Amino acid sequence: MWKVLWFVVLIGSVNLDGLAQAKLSGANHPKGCEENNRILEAANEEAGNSIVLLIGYNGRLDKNRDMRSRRLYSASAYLTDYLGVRTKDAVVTGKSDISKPDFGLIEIYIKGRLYSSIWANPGYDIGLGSCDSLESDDAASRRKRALLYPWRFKRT
Amino acid sequence: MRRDSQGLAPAAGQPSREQLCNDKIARLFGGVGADVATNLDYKIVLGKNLGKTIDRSDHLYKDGVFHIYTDTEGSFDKDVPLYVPNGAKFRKPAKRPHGEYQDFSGEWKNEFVFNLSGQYKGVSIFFVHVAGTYGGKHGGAYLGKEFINSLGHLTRNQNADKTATQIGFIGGLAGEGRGEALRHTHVVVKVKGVRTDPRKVFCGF
Repeated sequence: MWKVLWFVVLIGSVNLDGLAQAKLSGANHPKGCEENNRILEAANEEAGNSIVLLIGYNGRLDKNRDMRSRRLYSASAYLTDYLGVRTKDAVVTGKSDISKPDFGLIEIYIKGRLYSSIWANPGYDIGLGSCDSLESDDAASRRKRALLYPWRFKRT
Repeated sequence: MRRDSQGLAPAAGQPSREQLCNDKIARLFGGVGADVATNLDYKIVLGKNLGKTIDRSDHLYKDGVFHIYTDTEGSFDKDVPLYVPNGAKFRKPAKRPHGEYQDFSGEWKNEFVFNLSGQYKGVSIFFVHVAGTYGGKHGGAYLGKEFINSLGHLTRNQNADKTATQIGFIGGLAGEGRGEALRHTHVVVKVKGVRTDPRKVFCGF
């Protein structure tokens, strides 16, 4: 319940300067695994003891209407289970019913301000974690990859 | 200069053990100016923080990975050769027709694998984001004996001392350095099939 309240409070106080800054950056397109990792790591550092709020949007071209949930899961798990730099309580996720015109989107809010955004290709997960191929995995890296995308890996 | 893995700055004028190791790896796999990160990595988000570093050990040595940059700023407009030591053997991809592929985020990348020999026998190297390649949907499918630079010109092997073989340039598909990540190649190091800290493999950490 308190997570929902956090969502309402923080969304209600989104700072327009942040939105304008994000638009000015011209960054409204998918960037890739290496960039996504850095954005979340920098957000974690920026947030310090504050909560990181992630809001997921589907893109209009996402055929699976719940891609936003998968992407939110991966982004949250990257900070909690994969890197282990945040407790699950320190990352709050929320789904928006608004569809973005082109790409799926996760907005990252810190202290009520839009910090950065991660865009996703229609119908695809967001790239995070190891930015290499499954072929390069060993058992340990495969287990870590599965933390981010459990729907892609059978439990062993 | 990056700090060492304990976060301690080396004594004035003294590079840390980790920095010396990074430099050794850079000389082994990269041309003049190449810069390697095994632990602390550049922190760039939306063009800010240029030159600042952040602990990225989970992405790097703990995952058996190093990043090799075109220079200390990861300049996107520099074509810096990427090498394998002489004697390395190219390994064909097991599940793909060539090096280029699209991953499950829809991102196009390439990856080329070499098995090393001599003192590094048993070590395999996976180069991800290699430039200077050709073919495929995005020009990343094959390695040549000549290399297409960022101006679209063919260039020859630039290694004068013949101790290594050029395979391309640093920073290809998905590592071109036009976003928050700087121009780099992501390199996975495996020993007998297990991802291994590159500092251990090349510097005996």
